[in-house]
Amino acid sequence: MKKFIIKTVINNRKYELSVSPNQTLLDLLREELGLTGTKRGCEVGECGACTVLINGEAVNSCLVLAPQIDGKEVLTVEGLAEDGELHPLQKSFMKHDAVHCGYCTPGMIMSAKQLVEENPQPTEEEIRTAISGNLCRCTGYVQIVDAISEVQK
Amino acid sequence: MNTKKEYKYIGKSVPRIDADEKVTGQARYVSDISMPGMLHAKMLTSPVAHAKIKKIDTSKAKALDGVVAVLTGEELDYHVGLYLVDKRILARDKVRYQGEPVAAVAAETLEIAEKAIKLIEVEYELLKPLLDVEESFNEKENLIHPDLGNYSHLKAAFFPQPGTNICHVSKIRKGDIDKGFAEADVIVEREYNNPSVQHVPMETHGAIVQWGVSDKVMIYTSAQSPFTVRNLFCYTFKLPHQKVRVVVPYVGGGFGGKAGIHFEPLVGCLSRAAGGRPVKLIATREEEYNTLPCRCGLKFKIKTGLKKNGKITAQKLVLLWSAGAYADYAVNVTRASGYSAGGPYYYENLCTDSYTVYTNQVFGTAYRGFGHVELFWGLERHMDLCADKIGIDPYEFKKINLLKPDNTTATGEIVTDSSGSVRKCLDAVIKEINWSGHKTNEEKITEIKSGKVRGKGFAVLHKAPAMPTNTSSSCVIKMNENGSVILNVSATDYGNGTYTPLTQIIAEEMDIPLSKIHVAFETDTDRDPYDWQTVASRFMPMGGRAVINACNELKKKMSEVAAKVFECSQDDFIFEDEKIILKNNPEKFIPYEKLATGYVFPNGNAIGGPLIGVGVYIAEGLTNLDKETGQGLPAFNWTFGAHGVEVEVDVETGEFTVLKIASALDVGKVMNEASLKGQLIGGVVQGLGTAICERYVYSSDGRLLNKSFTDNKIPTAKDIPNVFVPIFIETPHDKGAYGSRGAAEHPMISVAPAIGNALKDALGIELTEMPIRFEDVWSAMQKEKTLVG
Amino acid sequence: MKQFEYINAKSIQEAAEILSVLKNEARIIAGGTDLLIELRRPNAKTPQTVVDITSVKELKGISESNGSIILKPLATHTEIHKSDLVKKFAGFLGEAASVIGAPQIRNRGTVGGNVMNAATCADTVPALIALGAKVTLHSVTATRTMPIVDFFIKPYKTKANADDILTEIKIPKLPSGAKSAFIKLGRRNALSISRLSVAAVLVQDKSGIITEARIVPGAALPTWMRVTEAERMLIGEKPTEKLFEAAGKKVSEVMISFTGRRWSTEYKEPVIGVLVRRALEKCIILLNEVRKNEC
Repeated sequence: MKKFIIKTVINNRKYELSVSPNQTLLDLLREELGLTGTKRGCEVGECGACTVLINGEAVNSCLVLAPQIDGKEVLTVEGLAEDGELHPLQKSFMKHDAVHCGYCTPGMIMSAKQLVEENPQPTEEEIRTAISGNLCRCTGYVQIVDAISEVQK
Repeated sequence: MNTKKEYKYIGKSVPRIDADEKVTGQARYVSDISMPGMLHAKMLTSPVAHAKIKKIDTSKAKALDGVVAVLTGEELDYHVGLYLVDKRILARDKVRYQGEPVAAVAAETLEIAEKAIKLIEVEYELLKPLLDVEESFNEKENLIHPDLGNYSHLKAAFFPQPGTNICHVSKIRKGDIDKGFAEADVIVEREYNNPSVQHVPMETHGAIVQWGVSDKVMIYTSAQSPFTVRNLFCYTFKLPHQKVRVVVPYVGGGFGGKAGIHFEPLVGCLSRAAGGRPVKLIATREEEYNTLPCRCGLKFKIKTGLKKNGKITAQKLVLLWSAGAYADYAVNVTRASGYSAGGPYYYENLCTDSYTVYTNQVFGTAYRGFGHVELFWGLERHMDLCADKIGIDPYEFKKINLLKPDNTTATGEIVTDSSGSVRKCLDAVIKEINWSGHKTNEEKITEIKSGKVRGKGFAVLHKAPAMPTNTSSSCVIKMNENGSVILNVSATDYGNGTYTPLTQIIAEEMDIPLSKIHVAFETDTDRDPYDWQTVASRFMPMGGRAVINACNELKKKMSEVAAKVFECSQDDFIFEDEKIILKNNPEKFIPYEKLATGYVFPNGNAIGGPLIGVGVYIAEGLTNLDKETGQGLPAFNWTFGAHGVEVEVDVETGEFTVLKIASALDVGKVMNEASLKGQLIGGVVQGLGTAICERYVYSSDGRLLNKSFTDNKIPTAKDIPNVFVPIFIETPHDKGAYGSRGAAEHPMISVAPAIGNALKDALGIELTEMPIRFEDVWSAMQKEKTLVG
Repeated sequence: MKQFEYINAKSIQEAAEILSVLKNEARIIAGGTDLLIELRRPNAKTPQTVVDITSVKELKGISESNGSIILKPLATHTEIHKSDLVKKFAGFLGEAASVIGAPQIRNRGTVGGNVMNAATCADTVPALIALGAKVTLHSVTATRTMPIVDFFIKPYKTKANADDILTEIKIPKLPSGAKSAFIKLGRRNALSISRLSVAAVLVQDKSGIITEARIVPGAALPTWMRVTEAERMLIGEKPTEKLFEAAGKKVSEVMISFTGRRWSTEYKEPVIGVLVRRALEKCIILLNEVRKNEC
């Protein structure tokens, strides 16, 4: 099987990678690049645990083929903090007890990131919609919604 | 225990200590771990629900490049089990549910393992699957476990019935049931039903095992209870405990589904067969639904005798628990729900028969609530019906019958002032939803014409930890050179958030700032001291006591040294601001850090030594239950609670929304307010999922039809109630740390009947089956002819 | 997932040439939100080659041309939902796109994928049918355009050949003064029963008489189509609750004439009628708002 050479930017770092066609972006991140912050939850795009941003848009990395990120910019939870300073969403999630088992947290934060970038003052309904593709079994979502609403872009 | 009225740390909303690692993606879960030389495993599962295995041919799989080990049940003559040891590591001779593992492969890559699995050929001879719990209960010929009589089991608590599909029966006999019914003015009887559901932790089960040289076994696993995994693993393979090490890294939720033992024996055997190379197995979501255990189904009947004045004279319950193919925790769910079956009500005459019945479906295990979510669905719908039948407001009816101090429970335990108060919980939610009695029929009809109808409902709950009489916890607190401490415990924090209040206990007891207290994650049976299990909402009250005891030991050791330094009595000290201080002369003190590794006099002489505090706690005074009457003392404590809800229904489509839910729990003492609120809301939403949409659907030949999030989804952020009102009542418990009781499972219990009762208030409909989907509401409305004309 | 080859096509022509050679051995990937789920199934038929068309510029964008909206197949559900052009001239299509899956799916999933995959629950399809959209299919041998209503044979089956690429969806703008609505039952897609939906369009004249009506139910009929029997009842009438109820009833009758009575009919029969009535009512509310603004 032919491998593909792709050029991509992941977490603000340039990569030239050799990837297999049947490899998902999720596999590439976790198994090859060691970016295990992005979680595997269902592999059918229903749970959102594997959410990352491609060119600023939240996507399920289990439903993207690795070659498809050629020329694109990918941001994962590991790339959120800047210069050692946590992203305001990360701080707010900690403050509001929005993190329980933590398994949905990276994906949840990435979905929230797209929202706060595009909509500096989202309503509660808009927040609920933005994270409606991210399942959480522990928190009941209330503290997550609180954490996101406190973050102004 | 510190008994100050005002606490410096206890009760405060201290942020979780592990949140930083989780928001950055640094928290490490089993699936994130890889080891040098690690192989990947895959299981072949049964496509049929009940069959004899005629032949398995693995030759093609073994011949595939990159395959290192292939196993079938034939090679694994071991039994695994918790209370009743009835399960094989891989199915042997017969399969008992569709989804049961029959063979497994370890290979260089997951892709090769998947390919190899498809090359294994299995020949089955179909047997009739038993899918209905009642049918299986009555069956004497078609036995799912013909060897039931030969299985070893915990004889003090469980009573299998050989020659049947009944693997346990629990009985309660209190008072004279016949006399009670004879005294009744009205008798109310109805049947209730719950399907199986999934726990749905966001992290599926996974394990990495290396069966190394000299039978030294290293296990990384996503488990709730490392010592239970170790104990059961050793039991299965007859290995000595000191050779098996179990490490539990961060765990992505469990809800009971990760109690007990799951993949570890299989992965261990694969590693052994692969010459000791580590092997990793992570469940897919489909396997999580279809191969790993679920929550048991329950079909039950409640019969109640009532006086016209509202007093219950007798109650009889018959519960048929559908265990699925193996007993696992189902037998103990049966037992716990059996002695809880009356709920937090007083009965002079009570009779309960609670059966565990094998069926050819995915087997059931512990699930948040441990039988009480299912039990209370029927019980609290039933109590509403009882009130209705004698024309009393359900709130008034409950007030008459709820447990009060000096009453005896179903097992004869006497309720005291420190037992907690279900009445206070109920009153709090009644107030919050503004209950003023059911709407009249006229009011209902007027509202129905407007299209949107509202209703209110409420339900009470109780639960005690279902645990052995000798349940124990322990911990070690080690002081570091800078006076900071590390706490080692082996109960796990898999999202429940227990570790953070443990730091608050140490801070309170020792007066050390929170920033200097660390709890060691990656729980490790080689490093951490014993704990029974992280289940049953019992770690905060009991493990908390162990931590207090460890603090006391640390303080005692400090006092011994300080007494020598100041030449005074060991009782002359107070502990403040990280210092041990002479009570009558505050000028004289020693900072903790000077004692941490041993105290050194100015002349160089040293005394004391590294400071280590050990604390243990064991439940005392609990007894086994009498086999025939169920009388005894099974419970460390009871946590009581109540929910009140308001719903709005679209009468044309049956769609409904929970507008508001108020939930009160008598937690004894709030240890960490934010964390407790989080537990409560999370539990309520999990209860909502079970109430409105989640369930297993089987084909007529026993195949699970909805084993994915596409077809069996849990609530999303768009499905939750608009308003949550968490309420905490604090009636101190006499044994729990700081008076606390467990509250982890309780928020999920009785959410469903509160909604069911509210729908009844709204529309007059009588729902008896969970979940309540909107088509069910619609159908029930069509039957309520008086309302829809 | 099993192994397959991957080609990143740069033009329609390139993609068409690959398909003309490989036919059923090739599958097109755009958003991947359906294809990758399918390929992951244990018994999936894995193609020899997956042809990625997401780099084909000619297949992107939403634009206006001669009274029509030109929807290129790579337009994502998010783009459609956010498009002012769609909002203005085909409002209910944007509404339908906004309730598909979750944000991650809408960011990635495309209208082309929705149409070509033809899943029962493809939410954009009822609106596209009601709009009278036309699809253009291109292969090395031919380019053909057909009304979308003729394109679907049944769920998961269309008239596209193995070597066809969907290149364009052309949507005639709704007549000025028309209002449209899309209504979906429940949010949960746990059972097909809850996938019921209705797309509807109404036009009134100055006196309030209905001059045009379009009704397309989703997940109710064997394939997507306008229910002309119900539409005809509305033309020439003034809107009343009774009228809309009757139209709804007609739609359920039509549904049952196709599907017969099954276990789910007891619920679906009345509820599809309710959804039709509500969709029509929603159109009227929107029309009244326009009037109010004009006054």
